[in-house]
Amino acid sequence: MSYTHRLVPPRLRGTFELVLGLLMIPLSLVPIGLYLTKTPEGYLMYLRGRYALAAPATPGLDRADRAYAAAAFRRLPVDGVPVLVYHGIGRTWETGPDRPFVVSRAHFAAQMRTLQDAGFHAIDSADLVRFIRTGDRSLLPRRPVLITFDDGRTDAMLEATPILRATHLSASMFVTGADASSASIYYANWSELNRYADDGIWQLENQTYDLHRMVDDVKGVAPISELVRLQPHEQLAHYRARIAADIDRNARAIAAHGGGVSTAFSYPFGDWGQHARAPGVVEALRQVLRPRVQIAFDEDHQSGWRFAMPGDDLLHVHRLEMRDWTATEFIARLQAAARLSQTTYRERGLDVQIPRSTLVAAAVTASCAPSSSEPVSSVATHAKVVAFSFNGGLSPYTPQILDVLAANRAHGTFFVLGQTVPERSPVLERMLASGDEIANGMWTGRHPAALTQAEIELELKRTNAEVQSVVPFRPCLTRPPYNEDRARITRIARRLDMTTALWSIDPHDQSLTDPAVIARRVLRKITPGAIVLLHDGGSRRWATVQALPRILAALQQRGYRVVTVSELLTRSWSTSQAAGR
Amino acid sequence: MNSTTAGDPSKFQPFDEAVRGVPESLRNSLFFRVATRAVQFSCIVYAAFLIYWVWLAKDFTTVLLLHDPVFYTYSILVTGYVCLRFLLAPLYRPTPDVGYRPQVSIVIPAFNEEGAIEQTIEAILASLYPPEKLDVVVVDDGSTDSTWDRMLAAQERNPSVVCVRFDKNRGKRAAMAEGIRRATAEICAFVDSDSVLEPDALARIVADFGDPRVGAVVGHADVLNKTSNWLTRMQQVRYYVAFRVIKGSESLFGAVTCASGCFSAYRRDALLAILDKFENQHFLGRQSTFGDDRALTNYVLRNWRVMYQSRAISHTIVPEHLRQFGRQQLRWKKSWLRESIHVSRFIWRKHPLAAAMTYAGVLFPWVAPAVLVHSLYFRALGNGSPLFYLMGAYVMAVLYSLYYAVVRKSPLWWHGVTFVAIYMAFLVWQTYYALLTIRNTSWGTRASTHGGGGGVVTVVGPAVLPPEPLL
Repeated sequence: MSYTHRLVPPRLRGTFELVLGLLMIPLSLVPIGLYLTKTPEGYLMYLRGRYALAAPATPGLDRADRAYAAAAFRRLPVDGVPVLVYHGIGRTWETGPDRPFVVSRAHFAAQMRTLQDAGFHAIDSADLVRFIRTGDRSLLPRRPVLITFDDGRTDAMLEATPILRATHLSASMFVTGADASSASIYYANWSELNRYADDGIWQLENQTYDLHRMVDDVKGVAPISELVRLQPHEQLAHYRARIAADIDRNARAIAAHGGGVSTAFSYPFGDWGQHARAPGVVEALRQVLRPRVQIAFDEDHQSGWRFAMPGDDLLHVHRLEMRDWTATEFIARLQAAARLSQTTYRERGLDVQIPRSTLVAAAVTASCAPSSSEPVSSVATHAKVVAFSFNGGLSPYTPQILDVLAANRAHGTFFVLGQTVPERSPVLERMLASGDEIANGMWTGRHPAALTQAEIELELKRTNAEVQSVVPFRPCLTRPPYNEDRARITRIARRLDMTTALWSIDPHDQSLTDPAVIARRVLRKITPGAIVLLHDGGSRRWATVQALPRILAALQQRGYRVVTVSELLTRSWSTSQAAGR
Repeated sequence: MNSTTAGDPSKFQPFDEAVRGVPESLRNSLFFRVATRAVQFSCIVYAAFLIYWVWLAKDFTTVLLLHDPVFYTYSILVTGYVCLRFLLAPLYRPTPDVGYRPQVSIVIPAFNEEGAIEQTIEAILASLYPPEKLDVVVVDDGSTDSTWDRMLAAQERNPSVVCVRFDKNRGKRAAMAEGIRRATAEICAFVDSDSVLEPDALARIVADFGDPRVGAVVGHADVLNKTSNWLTRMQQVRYYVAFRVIKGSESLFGAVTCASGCFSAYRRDALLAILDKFENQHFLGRQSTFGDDRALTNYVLRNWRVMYQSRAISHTIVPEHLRQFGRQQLRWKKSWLRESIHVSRFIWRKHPLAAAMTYAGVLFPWVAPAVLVHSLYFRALGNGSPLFYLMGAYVMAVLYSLYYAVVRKSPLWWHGVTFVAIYMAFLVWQTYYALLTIRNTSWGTRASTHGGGGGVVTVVGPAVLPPEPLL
């Protein structure tokens, strides 16, 4: 027991005691030091203490990286809004392939500096919702970005706050109420969240109150996210009520802790029901979310990730999972997405903004076919006039076809599937403005034989309504998909004051890959008053897009005018009127 | 304080820990003084650093309060209690010695102390106190060794000493009571046979009796064998904090609840009134044997002020072996149990802060084991980890020890951490064990504790007075 007595000669005992006592001053700090630096919870304590004393400096990029970032988007437009998602921010040794959800502090700072130097400005979810709903770019900064954090982690808030402040950016934090109320040091608690929300850098958003859990409830089956799990014997109605109560509870909690009204929702683990075990969960979840949140984020399509833009499903906006990337890696990732977004942006017709006045004027001059109780497949005329009709759109090919038509001073008639309109509504505006005709291709393009009369009527009405919600024009033509059930659809269309327009030339372009074959088949059969069927959607339509210029050039050479179906019908009507007179 | 004979006080010499390891030539040098100040200052900075982290951790506990109300209410109350003690302690100022020298009788109960008794008597008589105002009453509680002969030898050299002998062992309380009755002076002082007084201790301890409301004063006790091993070093730190902080803060309100037996003084008037009750104290149907110091204090405290005098220093020998230490602590725990009930009955009449501190001190040891289990076991399985709690305890232990380092400038300081570790691992649990075995009143160190009343009393001394009539 008396170690000093055994080991130290008597005359040195006092000195030994003194030296030991002095040594113990630093030595007694060792456990505290180890706790504060080596344990995860201790490190969070350290960060709180350290950052409360003085905000840490945010390192800038070196000169080469700054120049690279500044030049990265000078020629590459940022079409849409990049939405990024982070989880945790840690120390370098806490990152790695086995910890994909931790970004090192240094790299997070580099990424934020990159955004700053590349001229990005942070927007919030409400801004993004407005942009997606209205398509109005003028509401956004030139290079917008939406930075989000999932899970409400303490490390993320502690580390990100000073960096965001230094780079003049802001972010949304998706909070799980149960974690914020818990005793866990790893999640920011409500009083901290309240403070963060007050200083203007953070926007608090909803990530369910207590459904951010993976549940391993069935042996031998992969764990499932609690949000999309039905409890044993649970009916969908009960499921909806349960989820709705949970999300409402979190929204109330956020509001009660200074977070205001949360507009956005994040699917825990990015699962919106794609891994649900029961059918109907996806739709049930959508029904719950639709009235409660304005936008919901997932992490789908990581490899093909692009910026959020009008036409996106507001309940499925994809975010980029941020990894421990350097500034250069981050720029490369953003540039790839920017190129992809540029294409999509154009495909959705978003690159051309058409003033409302132009649309109204175009609607006034747009011709509409006189109604006919019989389906029309061609017009008897001697004038060299033909019409081209397109089925299956809207699609990414539609704007390209519009380009080709415009270049050849031709006009087409597009039998639009109502369900494709929300994603690409600006294309309709373009159609109307350029004098092409919008026609009703029904809502889904399903085989009409499988539909009841009421369903057919609903599909027609719904499509018209969708078109009218975008442009001041009501389609007056329709066409039975697959040319099936013609009589019934004609009857219903007639009641809706619409004419059924069929075709006289069908080159079967949807099953062809050679543009030359399509062109040959069309040109061989062309006669005055013919209606040609082509497809702008439904499959890969690049062959049609390439065939069309050849066809139009050849027709021009032969002296044909290419007009819309309505115009063609009007011409025949006036001809027959004239003949009858 | 219960006496536990662990050695002969004559073998030890009191020394100043702060300079022990420093060569004599250096002790008065400027370098040494500056170095001491520098170390002291760094300890203060260190403590400030720790307090900063504790303050930050508080942020959690406020949230956790909702999460785990029982546990965190406890932790907040305990923190408040400890802070209150440490904040009040610096306000304590020892009553200055203004030359007040009343007649003092020193009562020494002895049982089988042949090795130490002569030394003890001689040491007391060598005190810096007017000899005509000082007399000594030694009571041999029926020792089976040569204690009585040693007492007589001492009496021969110093005729003023009164020696009293029981023919059989009647217990420490009886010996004390007998001594009190034989004493004639205004002030009765008790010194354990294993304690050594500083030469000026007597003069210092009587200073507080200048206030007529004061019924008892306890001196400061240092550990005499403090460098024997880690156990005694640890007890030195613990004694210092227990006296300086706990008794010091209680003394502000004149409400010290335990005037340790090592060295304490009572107004004889206060004692005579309660002597009979004290001698025949029963608890749960058994005659109370140990915890005489605490019992006596509480009897006096009811109607008088009880003070702590930091300048009246005694040096006492503490257990050097764990087993011995454990038995001593168990005895203390038992007497604490008994006396908590006693003190709770009247302490509310004293200053509210003193009452609050006392009630908190009574309550917390009961809750502490449950909290410890809760923290280490339930937290470990639940959301958090016990590390947070363990680190909190460690930081508090270091703060506790740093207090000693700063105030005493002693290299022994870090043994305070050992004490907290021993306390958490071992002493905390004793409360319940003490409760279970409370009816077992055997002393654990003494061969025999009480042989009942009656019997022959032999008295040798200058003025053989009849015992005071029982009041």
